[in-house]
Amino acid sequence: MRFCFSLVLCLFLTVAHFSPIRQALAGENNHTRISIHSVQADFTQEKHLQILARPLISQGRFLFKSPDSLRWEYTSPFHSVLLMNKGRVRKFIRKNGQLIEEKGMQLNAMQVVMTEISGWLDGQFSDNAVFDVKRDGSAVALTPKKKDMATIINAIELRLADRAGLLQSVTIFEDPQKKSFTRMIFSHALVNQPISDNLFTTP
Amino acid sequence: MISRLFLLALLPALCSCSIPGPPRMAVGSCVDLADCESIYPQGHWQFVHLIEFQLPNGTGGTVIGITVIEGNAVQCALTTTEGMTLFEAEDGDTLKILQAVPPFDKPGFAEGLMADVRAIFLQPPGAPVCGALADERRTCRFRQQDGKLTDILPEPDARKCFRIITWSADHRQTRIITAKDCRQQDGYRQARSLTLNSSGIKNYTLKMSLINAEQLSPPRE
Repeated sequence: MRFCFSLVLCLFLTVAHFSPIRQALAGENNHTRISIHSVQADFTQEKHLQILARPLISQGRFLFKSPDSLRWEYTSPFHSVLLMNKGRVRKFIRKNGQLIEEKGMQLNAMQVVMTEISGWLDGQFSDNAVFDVKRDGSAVALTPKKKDMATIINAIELRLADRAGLLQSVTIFEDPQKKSFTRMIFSHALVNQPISDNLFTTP
Repeated sequence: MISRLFLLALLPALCSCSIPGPPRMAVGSCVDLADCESIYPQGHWQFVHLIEFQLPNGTGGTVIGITVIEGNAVQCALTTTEGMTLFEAEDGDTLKILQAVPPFDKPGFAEGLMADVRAIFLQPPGAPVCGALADERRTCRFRQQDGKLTDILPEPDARKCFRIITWSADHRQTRIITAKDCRQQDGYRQARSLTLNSSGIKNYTLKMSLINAEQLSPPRE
């Protein structure tokens, strides 16, 4: 199951780009740099698979606080919470009315995620160790550099919203044929609003 | 020395005696056949379950299981709870693996998963023998051509749930599927909770909580 958890972390690595990209893209569009301390937004997630007649729809909310705190919470169709705080990753799933911690997360892999986040917070929206980055208008394409990563994530497509610096959606393509993908559509984003530290440590 | 040889000679017989095998059934008429058949969905369905799995070494985790069935064709996928695909395959006339990441790419995994899915969702071929066990539980017993057995035991509780017990051709119990929190929908007894206990060397447990069930098209007349 170790690989399974690294998949989870890859997904978060991808999504965690959201807030830093906001900063970087805002900088590119407006030639001004927005200093982002926190981001929170609702999301709707569509899961598309070759075998699915209809996509699976999930909904939730994420919170990010610089430099290394993330809360990724699904509220529907079931309740789960992933917390990242100061290098510690914990995942909880609601079972029998209670949020139960899933044991066995590979904590050291979190350092990779945090390194990525730190990079984006420094405004480094360019090729990095993990992805090649190409921008075409409101679309940004990220392609994994390493083959082992490409077996999990074939490509990532970011769609920028009309408002400078805001992301409309993130689509993670898992196969070259683009039959299996996960699309997250963001809404109600709030930037630099105070967020209690407690939300990154308690489910 | 002779006594040791005698014990060695006796060992296979002792082993075979220790396998309980399927329980004896007093054969009767199949008045309960509709009850047995009602545990299987008819037509084209898509199911989504939250699956909690536990392996013999104590490890486990939670994944999302997606099952699409139509006739004898089964398609299934496993994803992380965040939606990353771990495994995707379809099994009609032949098994075709569309995606599989380690450790879900291990030999035998796809076949085992499909066998579990079929045991849960597809009625075994052929006509059953019906009757009652020693404890008077009503049973429909399907015997397949390869000698495998499937016992369906409709539970007499208010919610009309059921158990499915499967046996290998050499009479070893292979899995017990226990359905809970059932509801009747268009003649189909849908379980909101399923627990599959696999027996034998790879004895694992799957606890499946229904997230969504959708009939995509009704059965063909």
